[in-house]
Amino acid sequence: MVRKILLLRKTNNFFMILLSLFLFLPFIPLAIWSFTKQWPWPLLMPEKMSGESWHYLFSDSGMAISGLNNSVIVAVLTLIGNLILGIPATKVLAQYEFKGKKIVFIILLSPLFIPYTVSIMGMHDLALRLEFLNPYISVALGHLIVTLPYFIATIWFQFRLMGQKIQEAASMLGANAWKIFWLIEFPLLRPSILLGSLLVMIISLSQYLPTWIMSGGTLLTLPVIIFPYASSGSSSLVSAYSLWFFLPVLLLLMIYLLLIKFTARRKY
Amino acid sequence: MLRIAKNTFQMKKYKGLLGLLPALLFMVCFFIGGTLQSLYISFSSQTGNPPLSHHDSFWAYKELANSSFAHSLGVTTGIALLTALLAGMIGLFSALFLAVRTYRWKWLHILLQLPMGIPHLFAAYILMQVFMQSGWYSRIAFHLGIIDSLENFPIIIHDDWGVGVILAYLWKEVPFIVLLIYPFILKLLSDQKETSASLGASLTQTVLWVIVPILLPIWVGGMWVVFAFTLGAYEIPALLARTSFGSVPVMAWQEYSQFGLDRQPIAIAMNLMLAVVSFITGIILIYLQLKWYKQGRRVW
Amino acid sequence: MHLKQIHIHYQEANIITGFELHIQPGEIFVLMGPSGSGKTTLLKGIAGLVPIASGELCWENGIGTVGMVFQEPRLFPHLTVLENIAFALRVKGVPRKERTEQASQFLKIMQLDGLEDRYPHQISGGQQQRVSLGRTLIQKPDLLLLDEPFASLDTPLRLELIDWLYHFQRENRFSIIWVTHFLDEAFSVADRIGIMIAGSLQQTGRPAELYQKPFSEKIAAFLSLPNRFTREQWQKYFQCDLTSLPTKERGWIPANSLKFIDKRLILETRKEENPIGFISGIVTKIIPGNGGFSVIVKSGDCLLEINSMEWNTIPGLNKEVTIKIPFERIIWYHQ
Repeated sequence: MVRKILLLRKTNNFFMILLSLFLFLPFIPLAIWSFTKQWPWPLLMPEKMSGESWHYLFSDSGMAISGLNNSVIVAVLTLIGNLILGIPATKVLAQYEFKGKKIVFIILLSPLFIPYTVSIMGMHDLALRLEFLNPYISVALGHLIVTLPYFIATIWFQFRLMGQKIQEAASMLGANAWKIFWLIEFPLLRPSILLGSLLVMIISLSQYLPTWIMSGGTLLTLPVIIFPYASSGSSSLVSAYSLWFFLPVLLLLMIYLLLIKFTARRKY
Repeated sequence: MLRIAKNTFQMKKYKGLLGLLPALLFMVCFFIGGTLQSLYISFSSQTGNPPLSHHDSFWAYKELANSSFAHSLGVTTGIALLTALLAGMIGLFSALFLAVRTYRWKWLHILLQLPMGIPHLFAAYILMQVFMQSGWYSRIAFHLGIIDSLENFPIIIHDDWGVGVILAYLWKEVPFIVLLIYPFILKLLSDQKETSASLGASLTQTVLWVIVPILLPIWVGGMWVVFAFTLGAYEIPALLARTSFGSVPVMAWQEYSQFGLDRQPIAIAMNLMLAVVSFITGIILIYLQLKWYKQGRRVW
Repeated sequence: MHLKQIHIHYQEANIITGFELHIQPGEIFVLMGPSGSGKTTLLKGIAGLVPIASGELCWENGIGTVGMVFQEPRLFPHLTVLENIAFALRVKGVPRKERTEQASQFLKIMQLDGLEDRYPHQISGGQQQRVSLGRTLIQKPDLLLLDEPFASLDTPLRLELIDWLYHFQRENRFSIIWVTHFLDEAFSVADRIGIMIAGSLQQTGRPAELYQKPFSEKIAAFLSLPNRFTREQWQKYFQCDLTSLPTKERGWIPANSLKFIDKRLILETRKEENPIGFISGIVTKIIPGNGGFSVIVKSGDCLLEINSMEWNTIPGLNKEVTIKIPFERIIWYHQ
């Protein structure tokens, strides 16, 4: 019996190590590739290193900076949309009971379950006809469809956990709905809103097809710039771009962790 | 007095519901509206030369009614299903492992979350770089003396079976499933482990008979999300599958972007077929869940 | 079963230190103590849910099974009542048919028949706690650990379940360690009572012993014994030196041993052999109860509680009264 348990533990450990390797190892050659032009099989390490790809990245045709710029603008717009639409809607979904709640829930989360390419193609057609949207906004609208379900799902659970009791207490103490939200619910929700925001920004930064469709290929965010290189297979360049893409993700992650730390220090 | 109080109460109730309106309107207008618009386009007759052949508003669908598209649809659905099931299993196991054994090993958590920050596009590329015949793993295998030439390394990328595609999806989706279910497992373990242990159950029994059954709706929901996403995703099959593989999103996107406005209805029709597959799966799952609840189970 | 020098640490704090206890077969041992004294931790330690840092758990013959019932029912939400009850059998590997049969029989004993196929959220709180009890009892434990099992139920339901469990235990003769904070519950079922303060057992004894020989003021205070005063205070009331008499540092007197008397009779009663004390004070509160009335009298800084059966002898609120204290009824104990 004990032997069996030990064996089980060993196989479990082995499996987890395998999974960890599967997830992590690919990052190593990625970093190496970005610093070399030539790396023939079967060398484990390239013989000559060069910074040529990074040079190209920051040249005019590399568009590393402007691509990043576009990506971040779209991500911020998407986040703003999520905050404005997502928080009040989730509050209602978590705290009120009403007829048709299930249907509303399904509609709001539907992009999670139904491939959204279809609706984005239709949306673009609509946007083209109306011709009133600036490409940043129309792309952000596309991203909003993709991200809103994730945002709602992330903060819904926290809203639910919080329940209604403290709000009732606060309302007995004379706080109105706005005060309850700002003084009680928001501080309690802050960690999950931060997590939701991080998710939204990262997902928005990663989108290729929705960005392409909504702008008709005119708004060059990082993934749109990189895709042609990836399909033509210039390893060194794509590796450099991938690492460059990490920059905003890492920055966001750091901002997120700092904010979490900052808000956690003030205990309520 | 009583009546007034009741009225204001109802007013308050409806006022509370107002918060839902913007998000709902947005989704209805853009997601559902966009889908309807797409549907409309897919039924429109060919632009360009109206007097000619395609007066039939179903022409786009008729063009799809052939065995090669049916094959593509089957392959795409199969890959999505396989990805969802594998990601679900591996994700569940990893989340359980993390929760039970290693809640103190921060680095393993970070490692498991790492792929979340990488877009699918890069994920495809990164995996291609290591799994190719001339990739890094094949070099390691050579240095370990397992293979002696490039051709001996198995073909994983651009292969016949979509192994590369599935690996790339797993690389992205296992962390997603872990992220989704880990907090629930943690909560369930802290709620139920003690009770179950006091009744004599071992950890394995607790996990199999208590944790997993209670988790089921969320776990299946997560797999459904992975399934639907994989069904409609473009980047990974575009980079990692052979051209003859016939991934529907890739074919649709080619029609949409390369063959001009005339072929747009076909592209949309292809995607709509995917939406239908996902929708039907969803209906089946919701039906099963309702049936499950009807017996009286209520877990969350 | 014997607990030897049990120590339990939790997050570097010692919760249980040097705990000693011997439980007889078929005994109900009630464990009481203020919140945070480590009762729950001790039970979890015995049940093996919390690691014991040092010490030993010994069984006199072989190894016995331990069952534990928590304060909340903690039923598995995804299993029916029957499946919940059969869970422990499933763990032991009893085949499905057999365990269903056993569990169904047990449901009848638990007076839960008809609820087999319900899910926990579909039955009442009392029924849930009953299922939780049954789920543990079906293991036929040698030692049952109860952690304030009925604390969240209303009084009639609580009394009913206590009564049921008491008779079930008397028939089946297993041991119980029963944690509760209800004094009535404790005194109605206990063979012995132990009082635990700050992680160790301060006093154990038969229920009556606890009242007659409280070990210290801490315990007397925990039992909320009425009319507890120091010897110095009593001396003031008796107006004589009590140190020559068989007394200890503190004493309490049951509320029904005190009598209201007419001030004019004081002189007559002085003639008796034992010293008799008198207190005068003002009535501040009258509390009706099912055993007569409790009258709270304020005298100087002290509050006294007097029990009286008859309504007509009760003085009115804010009246000045005199109380007679019979010396021989005072129960003395150490500080």
